[in-house]
Amino acid sequence: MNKITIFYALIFISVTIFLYKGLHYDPKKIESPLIGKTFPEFKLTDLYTKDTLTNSNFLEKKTIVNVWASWCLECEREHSYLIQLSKNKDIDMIGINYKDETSEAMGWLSMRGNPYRIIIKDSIGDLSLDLGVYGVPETYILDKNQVIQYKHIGPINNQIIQEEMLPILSE
Amino acid sequence: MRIYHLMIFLLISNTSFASVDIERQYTKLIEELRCMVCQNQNLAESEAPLAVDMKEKIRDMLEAGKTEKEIKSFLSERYSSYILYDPPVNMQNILLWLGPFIFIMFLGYFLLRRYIK
Amino acid sequence: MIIEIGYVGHFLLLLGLMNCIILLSPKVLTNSNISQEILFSASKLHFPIILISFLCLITTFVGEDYSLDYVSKNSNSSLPLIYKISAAWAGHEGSMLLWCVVSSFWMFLASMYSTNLHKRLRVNFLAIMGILNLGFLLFVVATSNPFDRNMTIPLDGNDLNPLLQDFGLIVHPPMLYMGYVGLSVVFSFAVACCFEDDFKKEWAQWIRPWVLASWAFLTLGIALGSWWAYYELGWGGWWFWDPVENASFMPWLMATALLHSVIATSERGIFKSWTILLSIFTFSLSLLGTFLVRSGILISVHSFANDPSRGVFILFMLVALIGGGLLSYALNSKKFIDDSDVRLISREGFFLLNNILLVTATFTILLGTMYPLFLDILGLEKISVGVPYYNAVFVPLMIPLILLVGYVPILLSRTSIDSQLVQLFIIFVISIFLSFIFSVQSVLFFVGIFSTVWIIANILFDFYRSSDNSVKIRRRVGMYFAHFGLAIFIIGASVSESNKIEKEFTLEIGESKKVGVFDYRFENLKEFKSANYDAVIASIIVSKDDRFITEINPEKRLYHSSDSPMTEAGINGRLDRDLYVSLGNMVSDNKWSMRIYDKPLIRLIWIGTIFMILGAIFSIRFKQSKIYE
Repeated sequence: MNKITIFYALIFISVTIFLYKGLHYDPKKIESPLIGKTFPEFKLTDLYTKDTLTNSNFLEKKTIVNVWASWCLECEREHSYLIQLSKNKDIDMIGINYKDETSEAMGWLSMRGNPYRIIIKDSIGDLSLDLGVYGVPETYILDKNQVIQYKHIGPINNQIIQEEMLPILSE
Repeated sequence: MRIYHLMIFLLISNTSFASVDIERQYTKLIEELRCMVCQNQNLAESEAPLAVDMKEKIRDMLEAGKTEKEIKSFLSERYSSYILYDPPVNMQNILLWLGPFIFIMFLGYFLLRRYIK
Repeated sequence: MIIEIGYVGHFLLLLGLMNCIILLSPKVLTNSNISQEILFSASKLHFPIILISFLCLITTFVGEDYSLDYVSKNSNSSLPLIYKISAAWAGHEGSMLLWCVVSSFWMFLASMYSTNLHKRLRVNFLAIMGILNLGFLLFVVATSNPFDRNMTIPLDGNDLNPLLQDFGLIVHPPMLYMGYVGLSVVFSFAVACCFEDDFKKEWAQWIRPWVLASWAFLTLGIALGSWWAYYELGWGGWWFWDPVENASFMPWLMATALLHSVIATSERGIFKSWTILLSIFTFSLSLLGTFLVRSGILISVHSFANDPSRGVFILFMLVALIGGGLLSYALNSKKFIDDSDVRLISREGFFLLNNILLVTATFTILLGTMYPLFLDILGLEKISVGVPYYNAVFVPLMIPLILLVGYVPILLSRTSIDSQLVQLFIIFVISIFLSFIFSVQSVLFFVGIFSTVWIIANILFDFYRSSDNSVKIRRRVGMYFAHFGLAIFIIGASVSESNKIEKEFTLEIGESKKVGVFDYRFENLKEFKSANYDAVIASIIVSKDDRFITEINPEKRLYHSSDSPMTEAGINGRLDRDLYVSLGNMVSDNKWSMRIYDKPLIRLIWIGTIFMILGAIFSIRFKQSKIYE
């Protein structure tokens, strides 16, 4: 065994370790580039009151922003968790209603309860595009300065709340 | 009246020249951007709702005079570089772009030195 | 009755495992004559055992035995018979069993036709093939057994993935596997040779037909896959640089390098250790490709059910087999003494350059495929590596290679410099003329046309000069066919890419639209009901200057078992161009979005590969009389 053989053996071993580690990664999971950045500026209307909403409507506390739609089946699964979270008075919860019919969105909420303080109506999907939304539902956590700290794609559940969201929310 | 016709004609031909250019840029862009919700498809190939929205947005931006580069950075700021099929040349991708070059040097040196008189 | 057949198949798999173990038991591998006979018989017997097991699986599909989990997931009673049969290899489990069948078949052939090798080499060679077969079979039995049973028997199956209900599924996987696994013969032989005192040039001669045959199958498999994707996916593309495609393209490039270097080794006894190393790496890349595709480690457009837990098993096999092969080489490579007296401008020098370029191209694809994963593991920003990257790095590697291919006839016939210049001039004139005909605008596509003319014209010049020497021609005919095929492929790929027209729009029934030089009129829409799907078929009338050209019938199908509609593109294929229409979504009652592609010369891509395959077949020469001591 000379040095070169050992060198090649090391390459072989590291490729193996690399492939083994690769087995445990989800290739579809993509980190959002917006984490650490401020929530994008917007000017849209409220779903219920039709009032104009902008970034100034956010409160100076931890905020959960949830993107949902009445046509979205997965949103149904996470809804009870959102209602549960909304009971926490230290947290503000804002909804973004993504590409939806106003009447259907209202009907959907009246049946299942409304966890949101305000709901931004994003009928064209512009704000959602700025947020890099690609799968409804999506859930964001913002700090009191509107900086995005966390993003989850897909429905949230108890495990995600306990393990990922609560540590950030209680900071 | 004839001048009026001529003006309309010029107007139409003008926009169509512009639109040919936009069309070309559009086709190129949607082939080089990834559909985020699909299994390895570009936007051109995809009919997923998000892909359709993005294509619309890209067309709007082109018509508003945005350049290809601006559109790409607009999208990658929001959706990460994952959306670009053309990986950016930067420090983290340096091996990807230089790798083939280093490899051919290495292999060429190894084989030619060994076998060529 | 059918229920029992599932058990028989399962039993045969276990019998096959037993057979492999017998084949490899230490007693058999000793040098006594009787035990060697056992090895030789076991290596032949393995094929019928696995084949019958596979036929049992097909029988359970035809007999609709939904007590088998695999059958119930991939078939359905309303499926046409032909797809019931091909569904046997549509999913992961069945296709791995097909892999085992193909592997046992190659071992059978290897055993049949290796009697002219000396005993020790033959024993080692077949034992390594036995190890490979054991590994694959163990993988099937332990992690992906198609004979596993359902806890409760469903009334009907889930149906076969509609994308796979196609002729492509019937032919593409078997041919591709014939290629992939054929390379295992080459691998086993190369590793067995590591344990000999030298790598004799007769042995390189012995292995050459196997390389050519595997290469021909691999080429056919890939070409069929590309053709299938072209007409089935509905995007008009034929190659997407998708991980699954790359997984097949990497071993192909390596095998192409190998089939050149093995010529030098078999004729002059040079590049010995390089040829062995290349043989080991070629099959290793087949295995690596399988790992990447089956473990779910990468995202691919070509659907494949995958499961990371299987990945661990394949990775273990991968490490054991590749590691074992490379270790055998590392410990023994000092023994192979090569002359190093090759001149760069010679046939052998060209083989070397060819190998450098092809292996680098393989590395490039491997790098592009693995890099996103690499970044992910390091926790860096995830990227996508797609067509723009591959075009940027792959094309510059191929251009010098093509120039070399075209120069080969000049090199072989030792043409004088003067006539070389005359040839070059003629070729330039023809290329420029052709570029005008195809109104090519970009430099890259001019290079494509020039390459084609360069290769074909040089071959024709050589034919013209050597017309009185038929022996010479006969020796070169295989190579010329393959190189001619490459030229045809290049012109197909470059002209169809540079002159393609793509349009997406909505059309109402009765409306027409001009795309390129043709008018497309949306004539009507008919409904059609088949046993397992409902479809709407559009009639698009194509005309040019009010003259009827053809009718194209793209379809949209809704399979009963699936929610999402399937697009069946309508293609009017001619030698000079394909007109390709695929239906999009219904906008309103009579209004549909559709895409129309006009792709000139695209058929030459596949016609070119047919020539390449013929070239390989013509190059196969069996010399079975000699005993290669």
